[in-house]
Amino acid sequence: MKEIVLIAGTCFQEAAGAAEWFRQRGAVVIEMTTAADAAELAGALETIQAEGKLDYLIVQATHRGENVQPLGQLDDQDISRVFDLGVNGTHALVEKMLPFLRQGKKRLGLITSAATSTREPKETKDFAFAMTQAGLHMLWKLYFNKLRPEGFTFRVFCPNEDGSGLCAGQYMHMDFCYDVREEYIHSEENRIVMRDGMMREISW
Amino acid sequence: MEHVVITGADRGIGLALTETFLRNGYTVYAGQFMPEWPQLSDLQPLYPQRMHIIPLHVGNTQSVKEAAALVGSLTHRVDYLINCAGIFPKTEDADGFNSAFQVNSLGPLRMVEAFLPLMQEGRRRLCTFSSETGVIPLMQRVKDFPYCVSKAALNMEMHMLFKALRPEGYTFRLFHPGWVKSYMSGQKSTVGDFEPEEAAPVAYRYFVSDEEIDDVLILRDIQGQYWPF
Repeated sequence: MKEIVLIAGTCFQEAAGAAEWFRQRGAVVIEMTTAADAAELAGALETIQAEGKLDYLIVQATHRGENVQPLGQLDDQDISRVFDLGVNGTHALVEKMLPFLRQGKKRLGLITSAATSTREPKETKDFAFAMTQAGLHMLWKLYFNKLRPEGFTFRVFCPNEDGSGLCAGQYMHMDFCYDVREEYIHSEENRIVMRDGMMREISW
Repeated sequence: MEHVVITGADRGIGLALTETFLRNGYTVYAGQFMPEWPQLSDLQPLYPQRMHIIPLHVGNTQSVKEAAALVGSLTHRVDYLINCAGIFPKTEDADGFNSAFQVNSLGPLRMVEAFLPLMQEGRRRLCTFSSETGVIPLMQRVKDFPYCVSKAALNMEMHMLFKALRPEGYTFRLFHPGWVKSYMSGQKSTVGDFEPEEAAPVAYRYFVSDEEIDDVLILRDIQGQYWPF
């Protein structure tokens, strides 16, 4: 049976690459340029309803501030816009897709940036970008807590900036060790971590 | 005499903290969001020289700028900026996410930006009420999405501010007050581990202490425990 994959955020090259990766492997891939595009969402819903299930929902919302200014002159409207696009767009999309994911493989993937690791933010200027990514990381953690007991699995991936290592599509597709007979802690699927293209864990 | 700006001073832990600073001899500029709520105004006659009520809605940039201008007309220096204002949204939709973000995340950022000029000559201490709900690796909740997301964004913001301002001599205090019987949902919670009056003195001692780790951004709770994030 063909896998059904919705990838939101294909305006970014990593998400677009993931779409191509899945497509080359025979999956039915539905693309949205951003998670918050209402018209694209309507079209995606139509296709997914026809398929009756969704296996993967993969989101990239690494939008940057359009008016990044130094401290003292920050543009809070721009920051709010990026937050709305990223967090609200993604949250609404996930909520819409949950009934279909429950009929499929139940995998939620987020493509993000290692530059927005809270403990060591390499992003020091763009508050819109970094705060929104932190919000998305928390959103994925909350969904993990809520949905893991239903069998959902989660991926949070930071592509290497130089393109080395795994691509987003590969990482989203990988199944990690899980054996229901084992202790809960003895399973990678019972954790949620952020990883880069070399599969190194990145601090939240 | 040192000068302190406190947001969300109307009630709960903000009010208790205002009173604590006043009792200890500080001059306090108390941010008032709810003029109809009497407790803050009732406190003012007890400290007519050292307590100033400042209209302030941290979710509104213009209000924050006007508050900074008003404080600037009363003093040329602020030693402590204490970001205490917070809300707990009732809904888990876009309105809930946006309102929490505007107050809990962007509110402290607006305050820091607006008050930096007044802090240059002061002690340069930035104090913020954060929460364990912003600590991603330890998050255990399955609900309260908007509040937790807003606190995660706040913690990221604090790291960025720390990187920018620590080299200029600013010190930071992030405080997790624990489960306080607060007013964040609009009315005082009937459940919780601590009364605001119990949490405020602990926060006060932490905020004014000069014997803390200043070169690493730390989140500390009411029991003195550390929350790596």
